[in-house]
Amino acid sequence: MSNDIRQIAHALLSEGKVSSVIGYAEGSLKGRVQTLIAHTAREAEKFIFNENCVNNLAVYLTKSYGLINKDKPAAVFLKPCDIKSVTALIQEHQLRREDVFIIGLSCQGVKNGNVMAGKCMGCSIHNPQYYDAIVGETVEEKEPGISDPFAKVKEIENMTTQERWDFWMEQFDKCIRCYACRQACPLCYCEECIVDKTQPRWIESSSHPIGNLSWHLIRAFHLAGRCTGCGECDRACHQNIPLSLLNMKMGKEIFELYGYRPGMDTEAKPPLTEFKMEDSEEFIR
Amino acid sequence: MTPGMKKYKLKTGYTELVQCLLQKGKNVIAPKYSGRTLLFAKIDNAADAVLPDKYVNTVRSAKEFMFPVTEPIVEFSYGNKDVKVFDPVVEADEKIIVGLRPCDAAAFTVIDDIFNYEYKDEFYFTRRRNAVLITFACETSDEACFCTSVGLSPESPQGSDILFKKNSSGTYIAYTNSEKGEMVIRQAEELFEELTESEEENNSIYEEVSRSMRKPLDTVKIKEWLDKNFESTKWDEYASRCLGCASCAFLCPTCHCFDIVDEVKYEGGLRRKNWDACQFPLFTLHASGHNPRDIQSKRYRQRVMHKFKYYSDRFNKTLCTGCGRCVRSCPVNLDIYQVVSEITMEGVENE
Repeated sequence: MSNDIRQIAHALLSEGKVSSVIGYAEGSLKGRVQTLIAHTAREAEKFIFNENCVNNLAVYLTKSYGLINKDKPAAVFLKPCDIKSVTALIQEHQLRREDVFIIGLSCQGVKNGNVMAGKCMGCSIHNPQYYDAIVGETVEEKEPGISDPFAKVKEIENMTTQERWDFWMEQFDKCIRCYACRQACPLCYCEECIVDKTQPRWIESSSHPIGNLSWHLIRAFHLAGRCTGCGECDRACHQNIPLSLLNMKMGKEIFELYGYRPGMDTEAKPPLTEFKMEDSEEFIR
Repeated sequence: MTPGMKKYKLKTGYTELVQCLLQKGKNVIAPKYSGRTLLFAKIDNAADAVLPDKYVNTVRSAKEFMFPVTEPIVEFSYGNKDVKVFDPVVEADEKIIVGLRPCDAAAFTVIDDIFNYEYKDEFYFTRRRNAVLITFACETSDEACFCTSVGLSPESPQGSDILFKKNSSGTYIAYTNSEKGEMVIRQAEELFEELTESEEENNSIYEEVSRSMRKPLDTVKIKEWLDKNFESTKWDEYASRCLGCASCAFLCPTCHCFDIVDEVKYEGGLRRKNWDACQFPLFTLHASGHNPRDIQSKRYRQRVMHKFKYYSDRFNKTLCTGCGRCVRSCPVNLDIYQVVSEITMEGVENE
């Protein structure tokens, strides 16, 4: 498969169809891969794709990287789950479809360290939904490895209020505010994050219980109905705070209220950006 | 070993040592699991202290015990016209930090210089004076470790009050390196005894660990390249994949930059010193709106320059102890060892 990947990247760059190709290259540690942003056909020989390619490269399509809005599109290797992030970016007008050349990768699941990545357990899309080119054989769609993707969320919902508070305070206590969760997230693209605003300071930047709680809860609210579950926040967190549980909880709420799943349809309007007469009003009492 | 070091044989294992210190009423900090994250934490039960041969290193370094993630540096209150300013009390209790690795103990000797440069940071030094550093030489390493590249080794005594090494029969030998270290030995004297000559024999395991590590870097050559390449397209290339988070800086035992923030409530408030990182755009944002490091390549350059050039220009030390945390934690595997070895190979003359 790596051969096909190199060929397509080489062709796109040598024919001048794209401004850059964003993909994976061999990492410096076992089980890790690096991002490679190639601008010349010569660099294309370094591209790879294997089970360690857990990273979601859609993050490089956000404006701050300066790879989009060129005279030619940026090409990017994306797994089916990563394409959901592109869908969300298009929905939110952060990216124009014509600015990205999607090289879709069929995927049987990837590893995070030695084990299958958490996001792959509940995955039900193994082939790219849409693409400009595709690499690899179509793989058979299969049922998710776990029956209920919200099982872990429900475990926490079933705790008492006190237990839940203790659980999260213990988790947040580990946070040192490095913002790797935010930086790894393709949907945390705000030019100025609310946590960096100082006049007024909405969220205390200090790593103390109030600061950490405010940061993680507000981030989860900002991702409600937007997070596509790529799991990069979890992966980036060296303190192992299970951040995606917060996002999944919000995802579950949104699904129950509006029957909406993020990242599935570029034409759909995210529920928190539109109003419908028949919207559930259950939460207004 | 350093001249003046004394040697003692530990009659028991690690857990008994921790237990003994706890029984003497000591405040013991050691690697302990919080879920699946290995962190330095206060030990209440000796069994919670993870055995030194069961880990390569902790996720976070021990720097937070001298330079906390966040700490108040001024407190103030105001009534009608009455403003009062207080100096916060720095906790001055003795801490015995056990289970450090040589890279982390050495890191303090590196950052002591900056915390004592032009201004002596008493917040840092009060804690530093009251901390005893008890290090265990590394019996294993992982692919990210590169201490031998920056003048250290799995058995370096630099910065440790006591360094423990196993002899070839697996007994721990304590090498004291300071009066503070001697004091701990005296306080736990029932666990220690004199060494006989045959027991002193060195264990080759530490040399094997050294040999298994990444090939040592040429820090002189790195600096030569950095001296001439403030402007280089290499910076754009490396930084293009950097996500701009602070995993590297926050886990680093030698990164020491901080931000000052005021947290004000109606009747008063406090001023805090919080960890900060050069990879954040806000780090050098001026009040005018101008930012001298407005793009990631300038920020990544700063990180490498500070570690391998600026700190060396000012203090003749490398601001890196090769602990490998930045390599392990980077979400996109941007590997500083790889970066600086690549620029060395590039050769000064080619640029």
